Amino acid sequence: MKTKIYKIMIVLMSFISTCATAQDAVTFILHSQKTVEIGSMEMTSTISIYDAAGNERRRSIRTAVREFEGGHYMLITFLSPADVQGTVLLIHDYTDKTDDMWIYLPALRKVRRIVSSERGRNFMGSEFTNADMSRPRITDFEYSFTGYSQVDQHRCRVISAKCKTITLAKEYGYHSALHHIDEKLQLTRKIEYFDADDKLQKVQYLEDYRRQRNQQYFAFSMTMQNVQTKRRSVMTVNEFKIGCDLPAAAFTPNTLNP
Amino acid sequence: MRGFDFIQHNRLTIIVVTLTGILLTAIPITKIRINSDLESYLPESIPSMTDHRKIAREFGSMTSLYLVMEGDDILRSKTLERLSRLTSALEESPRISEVISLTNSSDIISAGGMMMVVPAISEIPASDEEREILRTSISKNTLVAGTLISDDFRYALIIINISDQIDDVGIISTIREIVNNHSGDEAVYLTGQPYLRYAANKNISRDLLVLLPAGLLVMLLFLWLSFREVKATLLPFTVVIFAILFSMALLPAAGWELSLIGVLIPIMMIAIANNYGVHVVARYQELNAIMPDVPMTALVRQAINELYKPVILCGITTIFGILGLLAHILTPARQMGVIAAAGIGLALVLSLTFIPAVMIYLPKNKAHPGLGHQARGIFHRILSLAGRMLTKHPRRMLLWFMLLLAVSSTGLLWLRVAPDSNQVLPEQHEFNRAIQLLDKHLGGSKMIQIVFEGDVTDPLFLKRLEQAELVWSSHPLIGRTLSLSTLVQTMSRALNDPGEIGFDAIPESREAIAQYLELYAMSASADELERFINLDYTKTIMTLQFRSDNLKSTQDIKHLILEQLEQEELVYYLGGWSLIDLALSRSVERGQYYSLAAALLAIFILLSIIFRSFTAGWMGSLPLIIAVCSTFGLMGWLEIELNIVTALMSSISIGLGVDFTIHVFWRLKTELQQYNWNEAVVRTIKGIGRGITINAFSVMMGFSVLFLSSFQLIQSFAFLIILSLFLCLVSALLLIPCLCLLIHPAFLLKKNQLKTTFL
Repeated sequence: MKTKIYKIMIVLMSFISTCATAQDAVTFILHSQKTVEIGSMEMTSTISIYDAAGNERRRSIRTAVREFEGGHYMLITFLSPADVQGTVLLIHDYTDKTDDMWIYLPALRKVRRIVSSERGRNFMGSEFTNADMSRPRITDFEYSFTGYSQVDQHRCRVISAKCKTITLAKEYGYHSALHHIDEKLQLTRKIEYFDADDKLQKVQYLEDYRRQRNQQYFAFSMTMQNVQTKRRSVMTVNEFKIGCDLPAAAFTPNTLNP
Repeated sequence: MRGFDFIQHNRLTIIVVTLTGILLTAIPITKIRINSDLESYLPESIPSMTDHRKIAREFGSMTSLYLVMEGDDILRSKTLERLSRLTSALEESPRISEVISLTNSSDIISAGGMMMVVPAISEIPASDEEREILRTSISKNTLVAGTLISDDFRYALIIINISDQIDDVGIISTIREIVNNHSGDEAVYLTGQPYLRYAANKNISRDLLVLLPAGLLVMLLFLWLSFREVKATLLPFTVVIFAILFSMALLPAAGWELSLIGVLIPIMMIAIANNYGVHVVARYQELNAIMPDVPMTALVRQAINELYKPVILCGITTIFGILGLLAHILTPARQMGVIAAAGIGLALVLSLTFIPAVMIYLPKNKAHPGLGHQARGIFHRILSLAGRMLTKHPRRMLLWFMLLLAVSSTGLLWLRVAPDSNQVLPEQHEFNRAIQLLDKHLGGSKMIQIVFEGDVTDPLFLKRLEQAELVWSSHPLIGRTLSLSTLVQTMSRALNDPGEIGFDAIPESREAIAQYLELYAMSASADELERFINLDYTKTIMTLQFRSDNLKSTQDIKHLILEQLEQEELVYYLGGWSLIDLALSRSVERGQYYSLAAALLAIFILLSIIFRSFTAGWMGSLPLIIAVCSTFGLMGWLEIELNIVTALMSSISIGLGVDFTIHVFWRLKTELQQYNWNEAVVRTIKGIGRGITINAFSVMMGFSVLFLSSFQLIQSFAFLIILSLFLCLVSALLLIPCLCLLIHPAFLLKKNQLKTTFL
């Protein structure tokens, strides 16, 4: 009888500690997301895409983000090179349903919708995906704490995030990820993405975090390295400000065509 | 003879040194590596290879395998599911870089004001109605129709791109396993260069295991039937074994690999290396029959005395004939020339040292009953008859030869060069079956890639590309072209409405094109766009798919392409395995002529030096020219193509055939010291005829085992070399004496005989 009780207690304690650990992991992730929760903002940045041979394609863009209750709107205007200057991408990023995307092509003077059901699709042909451009839904993943690591002199907690379903994995473009989150500042320094066979696909580095006036942080440099194809993309923020001066009407498809 | 004294006094040393040396060859032999990659036989520096590698660096691996699925209707649910599962399983394999099939390809459509890059097949149709809707949409999808699925929907293609570093055995095993794990009613065929290499490798190994023992057995049997004496059988046979071991050990020792052509090396040794030993033992038997009471050592001494000069000369001429292969463009052909020459050289030396050294230790046998002064066998009667006919009607004989040459040589007009390496494997092999299906139903099995350099977003550039494509697409053998202009036009149909300016057309501005591509990059994957264009938009690749079963068609298509490119003033370079195959075929053809010319020249010079007469040079070359021309002519008549293996035939047959001529000259020269021309000719044919006929037939028997090869190319080679040798034999036995009777060449007479003649 006593042995039975002990066994039950051990099982219960393991379960509770697992839940606690998982809960810790979720909490930690939530905190790290809050640390970089910027809300509305405007920035200019450069996206450089490199292939395995070192060839480069570069785009300068201006991004305006405005929050609303169901998610946020994003307006991306191409500044250079000249042949794509004036191209505008409008994204309605919803928390509870598929995003809507439109593109304005100045050469055609046309606005066209883009199907963007796959958040795992490459963003502008880079190694970043559409999913990287917005916050992932916490409920889509199972989190667990796996240990510690060192990333550029920052001691980090490593949190594993596994897609709950195959459908989600397909949507995000990866099966699981390891988030290396700075223990002190709770900033994500590195993310490793894995496929269904647990093979490393990509590694993302987030660097040059700068504290903003709302006490949140924003990474001014993001690099995504595709381990399998040896391609690399770098997003560098040139100018940044909290808040968006554009009215809500600017984020509708009707206003894309001037 | 001092040479023989040396052999006699050092016979034990000679035997021990020989055996030790041969034992040491076991070490390098274990390190032999097989290389069945035909394209690697070409020098790296040729333009089609360097351009092909350039394209691979820029646009990724150009090594592809093709899985062709054959079914009643590819759009049937079960078939489509199987295709989808196969595609997914292949995609997941770490050995495979990229998989392109119907189930992972896209379509660019316009719907509800949206340009959508959607999967070509978004879901498996569940009903007939859905299937027909899908059929209609696929038919309109220019990115897949006609290439990834046939127009009649009975055949589907999966393109599997792999890294050049992946080993063939591994990738073929992987693909086979995946296909087996996803079995179904549909037939699936695999083709592609890696599969060709894999299958050829297996066959090379199999050939060596089968041909070598078979060849040795045939040789042993033939020697026994000819000599009916153990030592006369085993001694030349031993020299053959030694020559094989030595030549095969030389390959890895020189850092070379065993190629498809290299399978011929041991068979050549079986066929050729016994020649010299055969003459020694044959002459020993003849002398033993004439002088049965003379001891062994004396018999061997006399045999060597009589034969060492002609045997050495024969050996040298054979070596030089085979070294004609050094003029060949293909690397393995040159290597084979060196290896075979070295093996023959060793056989020559051993025949004149090792064989007599061993024979001195052995007891004499009773005289061979068919030999001696009163030889009466059927063989002897045939030779006597031939000699008498020749002396009675030399002109008639000459006419017959000229007629033979004229008739057979007309076949040269139809002599074709193999256009590709498809004939390496049998026609009914899966590899070739897939090619037939690709040619007939899926646009063609051959590809040419053209990379253009320039501002690819320049509308003028794209329009010139479009114009070139239009011209090429109209060629009946070109099944399909796929390029950036195809992609841009497809997008224009999705982005514009019918009737609108810009619908189904290249946009007029650079900005529009750049924005189209930007849109495509956002809608599809980066990989899909980079199938057409490089990252910084400075290069674009066009793929032409075509079918061709002969060299001329492939060359015509290449010329058409080059002509149009010059006209459009585009900066480009071409690549693709079909161009490498073309270069290989041209190299085979050129190499054939160079090596033939080199061999003939070498033989002419050698014969002129040996007999100190240009007359000897051209007379001795005549049988070889007749044999080679007649054989090539017959190739034309029988539609046997000149390919990587058959192209070696002429150098080898020249190197072998000249032996017969030298023996005839030598014997004739000896007989003319005592007899007049007619008598000398008859005695020559009767005397040396047996020896060189046994020699010739033993060589032919040796090569006959090649009919057991798994390669049709090698079987064809066997037929041709045997025919060529037979013609060399007949020409040497009949034509040479015939010419001698007609022109009485001075080089066969001693100086005092000449004076007598002139006086």
